[in-house]
Amino acid sequence: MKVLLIIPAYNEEDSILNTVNNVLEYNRLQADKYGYTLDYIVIDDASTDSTKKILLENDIKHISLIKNLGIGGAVQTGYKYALLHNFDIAVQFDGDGQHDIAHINNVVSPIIEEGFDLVIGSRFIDKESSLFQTTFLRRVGIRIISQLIKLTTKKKIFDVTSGYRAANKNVIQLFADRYPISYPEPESIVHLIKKKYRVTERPVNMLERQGGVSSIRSFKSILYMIEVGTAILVSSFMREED
Amino acid sequence: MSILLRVEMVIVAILFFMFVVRSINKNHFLLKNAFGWLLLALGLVIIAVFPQILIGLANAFGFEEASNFLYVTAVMLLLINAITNSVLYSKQQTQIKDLIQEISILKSLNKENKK
Repeated sequence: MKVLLIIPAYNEEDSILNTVNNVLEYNRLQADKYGYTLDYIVIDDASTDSTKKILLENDIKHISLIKNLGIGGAVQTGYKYALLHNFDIAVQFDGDGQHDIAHINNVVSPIIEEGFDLVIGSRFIDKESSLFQTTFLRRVGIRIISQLIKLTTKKKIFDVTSGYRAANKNVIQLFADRYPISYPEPESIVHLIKKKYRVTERPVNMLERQGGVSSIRSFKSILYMIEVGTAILVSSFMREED
Repeated sequence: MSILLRVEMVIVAILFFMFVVRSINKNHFLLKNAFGWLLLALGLVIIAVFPQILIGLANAFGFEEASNFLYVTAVMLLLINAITNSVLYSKQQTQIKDLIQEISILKSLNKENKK
């Protein structure tokens, strides 16, 4: 089994080296413990700070996008790379140090052992396991989106905006082909459920970000909620063959 | 329709027609995309020369005034045009995104091979 970590990074000069080192460290200690090899690729979304320099100087495997695409386009590049190199599982993993590599098996093993298609790493299922619970307003927003998804798909997903997710080969193929651009996480969950893929959620640890800004910059704004809400409502009319 | 209005219409229609043809020839405008406008320009010239056609059509669709019919048709055409453009724009946005991704991946593969 080949597992790829897709690490999107936009202006993450403070944290990217640390993130990658943690991954390498984990790989050295845990290699072969779970019966799969872990590889990674950093997607530099045309960062304007020294992220690219750091990647080059430290010989970190990366793809530098020639133009800024936003989080959706960057992550999709990772899925295209995974498809190209025939990876069995792809795990999205933030470059800002928010995600804890030690819990990667929580999202990978349900795919291998239980046959799920997409596993979402959640900070809300098991509150004790995650140190970082984000701000009150964000939690309210996530709650509302979660309710909307429940309403349209009848499936309860708690951490709908989590960017810590593992996808199997079928989902890699699908995401490489089509992935939402601006607020990809909630919308892509609805797409998968609508297409009858098996989606589940597992507890993971999330930490306070070490640097950079969230891809959901305008989370507090009403606009974000309206856009994501519309995206979910529109995709709720999606048919399996769409 | 008064003679003055008809003369005005013919002039506008011909200028419009010339603009479209000129743009196509200068390669500013792909014939495929300009085809609709070309038809419209032609239609305008025909209507300006034979306004009975317009009046007849307006009556047939139950409009009291030919000008009202003209307005409604124009609004509908522009609406269709605007939405078609939005779809086209989204499609091209996706194509550009795919190109950026493809080139970026190829570039990184190229670098790896050189090592």
